[in-house]
Amino acid sequence: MTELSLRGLRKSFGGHEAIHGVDLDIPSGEFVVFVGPSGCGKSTLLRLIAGLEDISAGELSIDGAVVNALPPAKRGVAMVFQSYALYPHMTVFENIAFGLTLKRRDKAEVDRRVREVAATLELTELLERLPRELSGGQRQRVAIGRAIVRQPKVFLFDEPLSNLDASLRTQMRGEIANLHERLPDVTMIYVTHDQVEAMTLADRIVVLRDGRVEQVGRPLELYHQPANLFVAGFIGAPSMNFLAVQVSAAAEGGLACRFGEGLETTLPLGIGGAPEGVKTLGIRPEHLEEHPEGALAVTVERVENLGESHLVHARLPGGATLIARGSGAVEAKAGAKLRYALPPGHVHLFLEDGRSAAARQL
Amino acid sequence: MQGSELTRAKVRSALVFLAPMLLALALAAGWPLGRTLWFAFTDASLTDNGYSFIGFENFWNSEWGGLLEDGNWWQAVGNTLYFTFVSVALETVLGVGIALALDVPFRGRAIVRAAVLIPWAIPTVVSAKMWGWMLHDQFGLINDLGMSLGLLDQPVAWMANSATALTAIVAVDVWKTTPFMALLVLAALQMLPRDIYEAARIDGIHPVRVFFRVTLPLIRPALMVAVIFRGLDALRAFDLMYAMTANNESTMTMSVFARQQLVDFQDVGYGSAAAALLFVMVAVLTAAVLTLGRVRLTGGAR
Repeated sequence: MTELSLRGLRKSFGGHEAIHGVDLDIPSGEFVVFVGPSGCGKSTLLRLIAGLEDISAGELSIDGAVVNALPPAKRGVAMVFQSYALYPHMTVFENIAFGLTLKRRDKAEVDRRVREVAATLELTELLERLPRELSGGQRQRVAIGRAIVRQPKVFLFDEPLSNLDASLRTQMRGEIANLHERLPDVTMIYVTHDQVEAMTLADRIVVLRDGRVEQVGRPLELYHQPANLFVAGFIGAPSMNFLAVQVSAAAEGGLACRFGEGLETTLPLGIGGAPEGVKTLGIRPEHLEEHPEGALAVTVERVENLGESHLVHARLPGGATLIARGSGAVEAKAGAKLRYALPPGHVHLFLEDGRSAAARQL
Repeated sequence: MQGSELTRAKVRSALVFLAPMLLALALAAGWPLGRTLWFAFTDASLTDNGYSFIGFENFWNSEWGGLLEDGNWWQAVGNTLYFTFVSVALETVLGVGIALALDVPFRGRAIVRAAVLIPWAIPTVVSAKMWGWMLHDQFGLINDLGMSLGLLDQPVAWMANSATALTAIVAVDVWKTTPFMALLVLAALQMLPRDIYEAARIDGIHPVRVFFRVTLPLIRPALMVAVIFRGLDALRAFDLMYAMTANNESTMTMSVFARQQLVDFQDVGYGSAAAALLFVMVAVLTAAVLTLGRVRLTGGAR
């Protein structure tokens, strides 16, 4: 059992603190994805776990033992780099074997293990090639092979797919998911800025911003119950619509929401605190329902027909913009008036400081 | 060359741009080289005006032997090869070591990098004279240091002793030229991708093994070019020996020998023969190294 535990992990570069105290427990065999915008510290966090950067404060333990002072090789981790980091003058075989030969294993054993890994990654025919004679996807597979062959306890991926083109990315994503199934005991930590990779690969997602953890949870948990405005806006594409709102307790129960002149609706929702504290209402584009008596009367500005679905970019009378997604194509033209309803089960309410008000249906 | 009008126009303009350089090279290098090669087959001398073609007699003849039977020439050849081999080998090893040290980030690295270049920036004659004084048998710093540290029993006449003079010259050359080597190697090191070193760290590969299996193969093309430049330089070395020991036979290189014949003995024909043979040897050695080292000067080696 390989349990990874981060306790108050901090990292400073010179006077600048990049990671502001991260606490996280990762059980054995879990696939964890660190996701966040550029500069959020996700790669730095991965490099702290790998041992490529010194930990400034806090504790990192693997299997219960603190490994802050251990060099990367002794932590039992293997890493796949964004740039593949293959040795350019070595063949695929040598690249995969290079990390193994050190341990004074006999040649036949090295040969057997390299070929075994090459077979699982469909690299057997490429073993004598140099990295520069390979395509991007093949290079990435070699990099993965080099990591697997060492039989690590923890597998680290640093944006492994971002140098690949879109179709190859989808294919490699599938291969990484298969890899995780084949190696159920190996903990995997995967850094990406691509939320599709995060949603599809992760057992749990860690959303980072400015060196802080914003939320940790299963992919659908983040989608359905974002803890704050940042996570709500980051997960999902197109992003969740945010509307400024004034809320008060309605006489008949529920919450009276006012979006500006003439736009008012009562939602059968309850929150823990005072309703007046709610400042923002969030609704995902795919959850807005076009309805003749909907609460939101909008003017269509632009329609994007994508074939299987469509996006309507619209504006509320107050000037706020709204994006709605529906299935199939739509006829509406710019300037058309539409009304959208807010299904109470999909409405998110946020307090002034951005935290979710944890609205529940009555 | 077959090709379109466009190709022919490109070739024409290339020739127009190259012409001044080719002309300058022909005048500045081709002509003197041709003259030297011609004089090598004559009995020309600075003391009388007429000269005549004598074939290979400067190289070999039955009367007085010629260059190929001249003991001083072969001593000069031996000195030159010894000097070239030892100094370039030491400079390569030290240069790589210094470059590796300078490649590691540390405070004040820019200043150290600049400071390392000082020996290379000092004119050879100046550093030769400087070292000549430091190696002086009576007043020299080296003897004084050696005596006070108890390394030497008595002052050594470094430059007068034929056993130590060439070694001293090698030492001065290593001191002077290692920075050049270090700088070329450092430039090559900085071109290397950083991520493969991180991959090696994660895989727990010992730094010494990383150096020999990763760094060295990757900088080999640049290193071979540096070694060839230095080797060519060393094979025609002149200034250091001449400034430190003048025409001393124990340190005389091929270039010093040629100069002595040409200037001191005014024997243009014989001196030119020595210069021509030096040229041929340098050319053959370079071709051999390029072939054996499989170096392509225009690109990476493989």
